[in-house]
Amino acid sequence: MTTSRMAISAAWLALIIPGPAAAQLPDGLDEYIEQVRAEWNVVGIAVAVVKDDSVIYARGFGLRHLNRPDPVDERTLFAIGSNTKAFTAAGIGILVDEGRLGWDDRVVDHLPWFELNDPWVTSHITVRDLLSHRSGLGRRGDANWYATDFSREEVVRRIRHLEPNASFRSRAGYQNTMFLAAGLVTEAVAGVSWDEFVERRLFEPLGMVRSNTTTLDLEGDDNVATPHHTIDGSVRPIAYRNLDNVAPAGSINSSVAEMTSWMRMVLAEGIWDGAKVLSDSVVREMHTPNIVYPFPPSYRALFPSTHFSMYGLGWGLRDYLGRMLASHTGGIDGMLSQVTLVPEEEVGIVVLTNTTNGGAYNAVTFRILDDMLGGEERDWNATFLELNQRQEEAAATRERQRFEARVAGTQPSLGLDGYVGSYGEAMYGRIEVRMEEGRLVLGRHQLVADLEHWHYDTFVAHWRDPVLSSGPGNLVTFSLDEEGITHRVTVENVADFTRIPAPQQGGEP
Amino acid sequence: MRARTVVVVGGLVGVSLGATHAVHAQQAEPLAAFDAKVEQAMQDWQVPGLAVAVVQDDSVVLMRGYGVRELGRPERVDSATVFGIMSMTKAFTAAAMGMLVDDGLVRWDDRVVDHLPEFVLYDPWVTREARIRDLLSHRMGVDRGDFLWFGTGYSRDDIVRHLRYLEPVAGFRTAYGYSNNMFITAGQLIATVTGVSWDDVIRRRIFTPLGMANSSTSIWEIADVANRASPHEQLNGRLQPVPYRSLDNEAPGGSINSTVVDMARWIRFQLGEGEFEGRRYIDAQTLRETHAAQTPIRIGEDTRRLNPGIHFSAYALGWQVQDYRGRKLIQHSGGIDGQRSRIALMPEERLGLVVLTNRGRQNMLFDAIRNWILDAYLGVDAPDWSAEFLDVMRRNEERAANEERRVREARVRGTRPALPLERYTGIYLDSAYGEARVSLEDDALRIEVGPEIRGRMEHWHYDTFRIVWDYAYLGDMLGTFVLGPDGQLTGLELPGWWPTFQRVREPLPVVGGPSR
Repeated sequence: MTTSRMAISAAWLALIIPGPAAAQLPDGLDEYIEQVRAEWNVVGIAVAVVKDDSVIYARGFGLRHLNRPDPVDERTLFAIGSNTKAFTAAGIGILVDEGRLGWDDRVVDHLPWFELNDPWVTSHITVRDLLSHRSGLGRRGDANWYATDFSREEVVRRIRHLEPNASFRSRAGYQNTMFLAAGLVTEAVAGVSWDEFVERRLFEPLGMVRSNTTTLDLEGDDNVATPHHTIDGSVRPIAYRNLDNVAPAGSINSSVAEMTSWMRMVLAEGIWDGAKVLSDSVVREMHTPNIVYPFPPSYRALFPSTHFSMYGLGWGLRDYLGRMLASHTGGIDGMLSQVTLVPEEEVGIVVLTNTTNGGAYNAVTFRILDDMLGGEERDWNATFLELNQRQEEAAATRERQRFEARVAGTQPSLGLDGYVGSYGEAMYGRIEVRMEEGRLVLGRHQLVADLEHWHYDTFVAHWRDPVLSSGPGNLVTFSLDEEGITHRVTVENVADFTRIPAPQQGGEP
Repeated sequence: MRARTVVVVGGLVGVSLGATHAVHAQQAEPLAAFDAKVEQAMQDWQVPGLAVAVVQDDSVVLMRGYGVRELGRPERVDSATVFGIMSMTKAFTAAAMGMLVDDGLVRWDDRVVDHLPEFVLYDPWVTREARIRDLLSHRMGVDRGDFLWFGTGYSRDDIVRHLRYLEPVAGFRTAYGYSNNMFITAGQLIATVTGVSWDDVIRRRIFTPLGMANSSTSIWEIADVANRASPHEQLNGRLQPVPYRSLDNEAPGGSINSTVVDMARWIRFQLGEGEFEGRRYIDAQTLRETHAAQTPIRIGEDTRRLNPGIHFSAYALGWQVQDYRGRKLIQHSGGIDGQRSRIALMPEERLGLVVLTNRGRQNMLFDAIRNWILDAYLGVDAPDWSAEFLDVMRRNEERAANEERRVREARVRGTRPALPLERYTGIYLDSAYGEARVSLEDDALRIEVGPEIRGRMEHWHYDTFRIVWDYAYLGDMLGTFVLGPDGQLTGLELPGWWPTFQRVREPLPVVGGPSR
């Protein structure tokens, strides 16, 4: 249940480059992308580029499914993950254009039941705050929606229990639940579901006829990419993660062909095929900074021409070789993607992939940007491969250190039966610890982990979910009260859960 | 810089050498025609005197004065001429705070109230949440309230105590909103934490170690300095010297006086990331924090036109930061009665500049000079920046004139005040700003806000009067007396400058004082 594994990628950080205004695609682009695909061990990639309101490139590479012959093409549907956030912001923008909502309206004026941990923040937080990662809640609360049975409203209601980890609006903290809340604001104001609103007001006018907002709508489409994840060292197909309960933060599925329409509309400041989808002021507002967004040190060295990194409304903003980039990444089980716009050059690039081997989208995006903007040629593929390798080594080191810190020769205080029970936490709800075939198991909603003894009263969770299983596995530590009863279990990186007493004997109330 | 890019791209030794020579040749005289340009522009802008310093690679590459210290007198401005640097002071306050961070006395994100319990803002929640970082980054969301210090007898302590009356004008941390008062507060926090005045901290920790021998924190310290620029304003159509304004009560936001010689040392310290002539005075990471964006600033049309290649603008800590032709620019302007100035750092080019001028309003010349210097070192063919800025200024003046005409045309003819003039006289009070006194002199109303700001009131229409301030450069404004349903005066509205002053009907009791 490690947060980093279960969430839509926070790394919206995408990139670009200039030099003489060449505005040309790189020579040998097909070969380069194919090389990137192979070297990153990515099963399928689709790429499209728009320039001056025209699609100048749209192609697929590799396979939709590792074990099947169907090729990826420009029409193949992928999950675009957090690139959905810009659609949610645009949806709010449509309501702003219609005068039904203001960016700076208080959320409680539209969702009277909306509540955060701090009553002052509850009464002051605005729609703009929801769309700009400045709630002060940080990258937390994702376990409310990931593989749970909670509804959208329930996910938002539960966030009131989350204590801020930064003073309100003092710094950026990636917050999926706030985008979900923005989707619920859309529903409250528009009177239709967020999904229907996005379909009617964005997909339909843009001719994005096969794009949709739920994995359930992928049934019956004959050109859909299957997600893949590296498990025990090899790339394997996995199931789609349904995101219905957090949809406005990341549920859209689309193809690069249809995403070109979206990019062209945004680059044209809201105009598509002669008709106005968004006003130019809404587009500019989405691309106006609301908060400073952290730029990781590893990127700082790679991108010396980037001085500013900020977040607008559903878009990350930064300077790169003297231009502004508006970009976002998306990541969900088995799918990684990136959308990058250079508004002043009318350039847009979308890369969709069906394998969570990070970085391939960057290698493709930056190579294209270099040429489009006339920057020096750099070997982005090698650069990102090296960065990725360093990150993987760092993760392996952390894992090794953790293993070395394991105390050998200890035993659990109690027999395994002693750990069994229901445990609860205000925001995340219940988890169950039970015995299966003589072994301890932890269960919560759709997720199950086998608990292996680590040391003392700590166990390590081996998640059965293929994506979570590839992570380091949370440590699960039980605490005994003065009577020797397990009254609390701490799930690493999630929360402390307290034992829920078994119901009293004596039948139904 | 363009040449340097060639070096990198070329990659061949021969090409590199050639290009390197080209760079040197070009940079030997990037400011070749500079003097002539500046002198012409001073004519165009009617700026009596200015001083410029340019630093590159830790060396002063240009430092000189132009024009005269005071109109009608022969003394020339030189590099040792003292000017007020006004809001460029804010970066000194931020650096001093950074030194206290290094000392472990404060942290950027400490709550203000933990160090300064008397700090109270309008909203109790904001009072509790406000951090030192917020004091230095113009995002508190409260009214600017410059009349707490401008023309008042308030001390810095008084100003901090009156912050509680400044009403919110934007959501907390939602918008850039310039606040001198928060820098005054930061200065008081520095004084509280160190036990000595802000002025002493600046002197001991910055002026003395950097050898800024002719820098000071009060106009009283330059009273006897002969080589001092006189401030100038255009009043009643004539450019003329005006007195120095004391900024003692606003000092941490703007009181420093300095020379381009001293400011060049400050620039070298900043570009050296806290190291100066082999010694370190602040941790590099701490100083970098003062250069890091905190509060995004929206970019207007004029800013876009006058700042080529700008995509981002933000306030850092005591500095404003932005991109300029693909590089980061760390800068600040300064302005008060009769003086305007600019400091700008471009660390990627190891370049810094300062421009100090002795003219106040209708002066953007210092930024035309900034652009000329930056463009020269970037190897860009610069437009005629003086003309560009003049055009922007003239269009702004036109807009202001149109607005004034609109107000004039909206004047209703043939009306009279509801009451006889003497009925308007008396005292009007505001919690933050104290007293506004209205009196009758020679059959005309006069107004006095605080101890210093005075003007005459000419009837406009109904109960509205046009106020013409004695400080002519404050311009004029419309003030309206408010009558209650019983026909009694209840207040005086001075919109945009102050909140509504409430009429005092009875003389105030003197609490604890002798009875009258």
